[in-house]
Amino acid sequence: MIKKYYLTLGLMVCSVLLFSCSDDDSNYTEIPTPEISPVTVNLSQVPYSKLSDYHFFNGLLKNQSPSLDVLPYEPASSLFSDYAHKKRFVWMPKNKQAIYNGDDNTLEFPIGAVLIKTFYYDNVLPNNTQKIIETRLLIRKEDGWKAYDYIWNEAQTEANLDTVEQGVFIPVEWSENGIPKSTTYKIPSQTECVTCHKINPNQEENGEITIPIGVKPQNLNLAFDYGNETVNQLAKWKSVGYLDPNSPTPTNTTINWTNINEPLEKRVRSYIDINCGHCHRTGGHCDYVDLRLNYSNTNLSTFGVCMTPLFSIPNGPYVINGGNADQSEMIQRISSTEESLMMPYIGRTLVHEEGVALITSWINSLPECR
Amino acid sequence: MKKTTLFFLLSLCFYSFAQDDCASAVTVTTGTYTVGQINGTQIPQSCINNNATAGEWYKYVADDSYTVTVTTDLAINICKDTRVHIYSGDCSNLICVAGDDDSGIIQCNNGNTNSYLSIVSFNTTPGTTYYIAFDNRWSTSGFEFQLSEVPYVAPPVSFTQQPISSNATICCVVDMNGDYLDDIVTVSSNAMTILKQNVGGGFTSSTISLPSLTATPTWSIAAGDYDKNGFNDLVFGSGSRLTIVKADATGTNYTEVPYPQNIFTQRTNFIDINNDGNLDLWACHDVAQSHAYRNMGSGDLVFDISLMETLPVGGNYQSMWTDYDNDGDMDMYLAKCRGGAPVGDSQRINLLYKNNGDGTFTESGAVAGINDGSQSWSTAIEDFDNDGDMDFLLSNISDTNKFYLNNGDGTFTDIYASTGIDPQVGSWEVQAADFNNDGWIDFLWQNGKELYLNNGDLTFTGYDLTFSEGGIGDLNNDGFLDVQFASNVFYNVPNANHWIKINLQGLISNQNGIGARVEIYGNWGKQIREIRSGHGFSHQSTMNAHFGIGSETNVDQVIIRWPSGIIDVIDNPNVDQALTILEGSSPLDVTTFNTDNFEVYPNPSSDFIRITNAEKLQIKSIAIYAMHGALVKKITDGSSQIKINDLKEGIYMLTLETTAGEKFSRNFVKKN
Repeated sequence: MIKKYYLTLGLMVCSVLLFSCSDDDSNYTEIPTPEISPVTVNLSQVPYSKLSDYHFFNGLLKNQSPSLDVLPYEPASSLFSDYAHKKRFVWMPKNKQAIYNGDDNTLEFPIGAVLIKTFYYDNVLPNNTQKIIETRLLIRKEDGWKAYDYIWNEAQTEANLDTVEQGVFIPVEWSENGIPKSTTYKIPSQTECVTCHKINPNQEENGEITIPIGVKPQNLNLAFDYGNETVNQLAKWKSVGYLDPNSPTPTNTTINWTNINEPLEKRVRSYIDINCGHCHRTGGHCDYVDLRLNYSNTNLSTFGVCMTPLFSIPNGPYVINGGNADQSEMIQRISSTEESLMMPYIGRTLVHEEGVALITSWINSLPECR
Repeated sequence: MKKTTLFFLLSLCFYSFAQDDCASAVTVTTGTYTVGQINGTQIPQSCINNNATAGEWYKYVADDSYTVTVTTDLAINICKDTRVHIYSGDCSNLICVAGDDDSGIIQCNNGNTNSYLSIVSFNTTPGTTYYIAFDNRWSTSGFEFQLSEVPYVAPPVSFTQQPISSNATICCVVDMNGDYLDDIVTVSSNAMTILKQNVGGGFTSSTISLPSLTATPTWSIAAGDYDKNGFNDLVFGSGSRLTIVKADATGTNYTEVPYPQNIFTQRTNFIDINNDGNLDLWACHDVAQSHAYRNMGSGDLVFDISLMETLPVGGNYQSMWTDYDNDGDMDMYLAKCRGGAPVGDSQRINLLYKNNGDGTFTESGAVAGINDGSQSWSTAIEDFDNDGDMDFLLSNISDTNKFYLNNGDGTFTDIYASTGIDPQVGSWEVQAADFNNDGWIDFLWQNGKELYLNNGDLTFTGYDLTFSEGGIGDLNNDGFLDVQFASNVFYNVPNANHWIKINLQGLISNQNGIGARVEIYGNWGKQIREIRSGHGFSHQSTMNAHFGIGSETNVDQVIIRWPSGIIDVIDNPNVDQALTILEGSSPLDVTTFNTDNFEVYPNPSSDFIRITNAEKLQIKSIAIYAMHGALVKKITDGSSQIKINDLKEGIYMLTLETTAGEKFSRNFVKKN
C-alpha cells in the first residue's frame, strides 16, 4: 500500500513537471496547487443550455463520474418511478453549508446549492444497453429553488435543457430481473415538478415554496459507498463542509425498505414516507385529507389504520383495514393505474408490485379494525 | 307475560338443539331467541371479514316482501360482542346478502363505549329462505337476538342494473349519431367504443381505433359539436394532456387532434365563450392557470388563454357555465381546491366570472356571496326551487358543503343547514337531475346518501343507491333518466309521472344549443334548464333538456332562449315524448313584445324580400343565414328591402335586431 501511494505521488509530480515544462519555459519550479473544482454555477446565467456546461462530471458525461466537490448521495428508500434507476449528487459553493431543520424536514440549503438527479434504465431492449433519459436539477437561487430538466440525446453524449417544459413521453422497454417490462416514461412538465416539490410549510396565504424531497436528515443517516470509503452520509457531508457540524444526529431514521432484516413496520413506513409522505403531510399537496404519511408521524390512526377514507371507495371501508389488505383504500389506490383512482397519481404509470406486496403483508399482519 | 314465558321455553328448547351448521339451521320467525355458546362446526364465510372458527345457524322463510331486521343490540346483551351474516341460496351454495359486526349503539357500562353488538336489515323476496349465522370471531359467549319484519316499502326511485362491457368510471352518455337518443362512449388506451342506442332499445356497439392516443379521459370527458357537422366531438382530459377526438362528416370515423400543452386537466366544457356562434373549449388546470381554446370558425380550436383569462393560479377543479343573473349570457362558476393552502388563499377560493355581454368577464364571487373557500370539488347548478333562477349546490372537502339559494338580485344565501342534507363532506361529484319526474331537481353524490330527492320545499330526503355518479341520460328512451357507471347501466324504473324532453339543433348558435335556456310553463308554474357540456366533476351527461312534470299532462308553453338571442316558442306540445327544435323555427311572435307584427314577403321569393312594419321596428341590422348556419348576407343600412337574387335555392333564416337590442327571426324560401 505504501509503495503504491509513493508510486502514485511520483507519477503525479512527474506529470505536473512534464506539464509545466512543456507548457512554459521559465526556470522556477511550480508547486502543485490544490485541485480546483471545475463546477460552474453562475446563478445569473443558469439554467445553462447543456448539462455539460455545469462541469458536474469528469470524463464522458454518460458515466456520471462526479467532479471534485460533487458528492453522490442516496436516500435510505427511494420513490418508485416506473422502475427507473437514479443517480443523485449534491454540489454547494465553496464555504457554504446546509443547516439542519429537524429530522423530517428538508435540509436548509445555501444559495447556490444544486441537487442533481439522473434517471436511467439498464438492460434496455433489445440490446440490454443503458439508456439515460433525463437529469433533473434543483438549483437554490436567491428567491428559492428552481427546477430544470435536461433531456439526454439518443447518442447519450449530452443532455439539453427542456425549454418547452410541457413534459415529454419516452417509450422504454427493458428487462427487469430478466422479465421484460415496458412503459411510456414521462419527463415531467414544469408544473408537474412543482406539484410534488412544493409545500406550504406554515400554511400561510401565498406561502407555497418549491423544495427538494429526499434530502432530509432522516433519509441520509446511513452509510454510503463513496468508492474510496464507506461512511455515514451525514458525517461525510459534515467532513466536506456541506452540513453544519453542529447538526444533531437524527434519532428517527428511515431505512431501506428492501432490507428484509429490518422490522416490517419500519420498512413500510420508510417506503410510504418517500412515496406518499411529501404530499400527505401538513402543508403538502394532499393535506386536506387527514392522512399524515410522513415517517415522523407515529400515530397509527392518522397514518390511516382503521381510518374512514375522506373519499368513499367501493370495498375500502378503511384507508388501512387491519388484517384485510384487499379491502384497504391504500392497497386499492397503489394497485391501480387509473389516474383518478391511483396513488401516487403522477410519477408512475406502472404498479410497483414489490411495494404493493410489502404494504399488503404489513396490513394483513395488523389487528382487525373495530 | 305468558308470551314471554312461551318464548323463553321455546328458546330453551332451541338451545338444547345446537344449530351447528347450515343444514341443521332452525327456522325462526319474528321474536327473540337465545343463542347458546357459539360452537357450531360450520364457519360462516365471506359476508364480512372472516377469521372465525365456529358458527350458529338459523333460517327464516319470507312469506311476503318485508324489510327484516336481525339485531343483537338488546339491553340484555350489554357489553357483549357479536357478528352476524345473512345468506340466501342453499346450504351447498350460500349467497351473501348482508352482514354486520358493530352497528349496535347500546353503550357498554364499562368505559362508556358502545357494546360490540350487531344490527342488520335486508329486503326479502317472498318464498325465499334466508340463513342467519353468528360467528365466534370476537366472543363465543351466548346472547339473544331479535328478528322483526316490516312491510317492504319500495323507494321512490329504483333502478335495475344491466352490465355493459366497460369499466369506464369517467362516463359519457350523450347522443353521438345525431338521432337525439343518448349513447354511451367508453375509452381505452388506443380505442373508443360507442354503444349506440337502438330505436327499439338496446345498443349497437362500434369500436373506433385511435392509434397513439395522447390522452384518455382519466379525469374528465365532455362532448360538443364544435365543427358544426352534426356529430358530437369529444375532449378527453388526462393528468398531463387534453386531446380532442373529432367526428367526421359521416359520424362514423373519428380522428384525434392532440395538443402539446401540459395540463393537469380537470373539468372541461365546450362553450361558446365569445358568443360568436362557435363552440370554444374551456379546461380547468389543477396546478396552474386554466386553459381556453378559441374556435377559429373554420372547425379548428386553437390554444389561446387570452380568450378567457382566469386567475393565474392552480386549484381549478370544476367549471360550470350558467346564466346565474338571468341576463341572457353564460357566466362561469369555478370550484377551487388546493391542498396545503390555508383558509383565505386565492388558490382555494371559488370564483364567479360574470359575463359582461361583450366578450369580457368580471370576477364577482364576493359580490354574489359565493366566494366559498371550503375546498370545492364540484357544483350542481339548477333551479332547485323552480323560481326561475339557478341555485348552486357545492360539494366541499373541508368545512361545510353549501347550498346557495339564488336571491334573484345577483346574490345568494346559504341555506344548507335547513335542507335536511347530510352534513358530511368529501364528495368529489355532485350531479343534479329530476330522477323521479316529479318536476323538482334531485341530485347524486357521495355524502351520506347517494341520491337526494327534492321534496319541493327546499328540503331533500336521502336514499341509498349502489352507485353515486356517472353519465346521466335516457338510455332506453322511456323519459326517465338512467345512469351509466363503470360496467353497469342503471335503468330508472318508471313511475306514473309525465315528462317532456326538448332536443335542440342550433343554426346561428352552436349546433348543440349549449348555453341555451329552456323554459317550460304549466300548472306548476315554470321550470328551467340550461344546455351544458361537461357535467359534475368529470362526466358528460345528456344534452337533451329533460323535464318531469309529475301528474300534470299538459305543458302550456316551451320557450327556448338561444345564445344568438333568437327565441323560439312552442305552445301546447305533446308530453311524454321528445320535442326537437331547430333554432328559429318557431319564432316568438313579435306582438308579444308590444311591437307591430312583421312578416317577410313575398315568401317564397326569387329576387327580393321586404320586411313589413319596418319603420316601427327601428331596424338596426338584418342578417340572413343559410340553414347550415353560415352567414350569407348582412344589412346594416336600415333598409327594409333585401335583394336575394344572388342566393342559391333553399330555406334561409332572416334575423332582425332592433336598435333596442331585441332580436327576431323569420324563415323564408328562395326560389329560382
